[in-house]
Amino acid sequence: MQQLTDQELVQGVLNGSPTHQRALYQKYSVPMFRVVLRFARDRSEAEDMLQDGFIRVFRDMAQFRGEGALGGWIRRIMVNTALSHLRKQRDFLRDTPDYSPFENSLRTEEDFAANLDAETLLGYLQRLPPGYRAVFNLYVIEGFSHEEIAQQLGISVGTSKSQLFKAREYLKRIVDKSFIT
Amino acid sequence: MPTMEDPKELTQLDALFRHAFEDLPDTPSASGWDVPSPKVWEGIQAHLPGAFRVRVRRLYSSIAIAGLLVTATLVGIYLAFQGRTEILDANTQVNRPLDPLSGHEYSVEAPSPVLTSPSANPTRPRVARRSATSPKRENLQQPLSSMPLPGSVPAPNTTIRRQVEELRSASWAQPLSPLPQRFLSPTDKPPVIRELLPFRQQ
Repeated sequence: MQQLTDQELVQGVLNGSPTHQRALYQKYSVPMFRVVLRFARDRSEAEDMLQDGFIRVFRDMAQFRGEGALGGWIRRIMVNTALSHLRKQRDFLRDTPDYSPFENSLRTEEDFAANLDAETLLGYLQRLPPGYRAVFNLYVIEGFSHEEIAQQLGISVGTSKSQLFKAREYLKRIVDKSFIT
Repeated sequence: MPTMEDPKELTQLDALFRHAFEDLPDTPSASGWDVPSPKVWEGIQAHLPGAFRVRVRRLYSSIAIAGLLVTATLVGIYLAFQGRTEILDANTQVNRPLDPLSGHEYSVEAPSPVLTSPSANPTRPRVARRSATSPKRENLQQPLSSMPLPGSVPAPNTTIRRQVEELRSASWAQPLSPLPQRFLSPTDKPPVIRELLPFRQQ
């Protein structure tokens, strides 16, 4: 099928065209899956987030005004969907990280350098507690301020800063441990 | 050996993750870690607005088909009961008991040609057996007014007529002959019983 523009995809989805719905999913499923993977603890949870996110996208497509990029609009929906999933978890802000460094995963400096790709770093992120992971993602990668994070997650600004500090410490330990080993 | 104890290292840590995830190519990775499984799209399809309209259309179609089936069943039941009543009427007319002494003219007619269903055959054993034993059947065996169809001619009942004529001409059916004169008194008195019993005079 010929590559459709975002405007054509939006119009097709608004008209209820299954072809355009499928094309939109094929175009944005991979980048959006990367986004939700960073918020989820595993692939299964990420797929649930992705499914719910795209259902919201198709349902609320009429609200897209075309002022910004379609990809950015979909990404915001995915982040909000991921945060909704995290808020449903009881231990969302628990303070006891399940620290299990990768003792055997990275052994040499070459291994460390070679394995510091997105997939490896994603593995590090997914070992963080949900609250650490969410704040780190929102602050470091999505570019949210602490005030925005506090509003999004329903926590205080101080809690947001604390969670970010602990997330960094935790990741630093993992990376150092991997690097030293 | 680099460490990450100072803020600069923390900033590098942030940059490490940021660039790792933001600078990914558009194409999926070779290992497939960033490719969702096909069941995600299947789950999305089940909730699409188009799928909702299809489900609503299917629901309406199912309701319409169910309504047609119910209507057809009710019409079938009604026609079946109506046909059975006509069968009973026809059997009652054919098997109506006749009184040869009354001299009443009965018109024995054929079953109504309206009966089109195969179950409407009055000669079927099931119907005949039921009509012989059912108490409802006895109630229905009362003389009913027959409605001859236009153009139908009553069948001649010569057997009944002959039986009636034979009964009328029987010897016991003839009027008695008057008594002999000797049994009658000149004064038109009632006959003397004594004369009818001569053995008493002896």
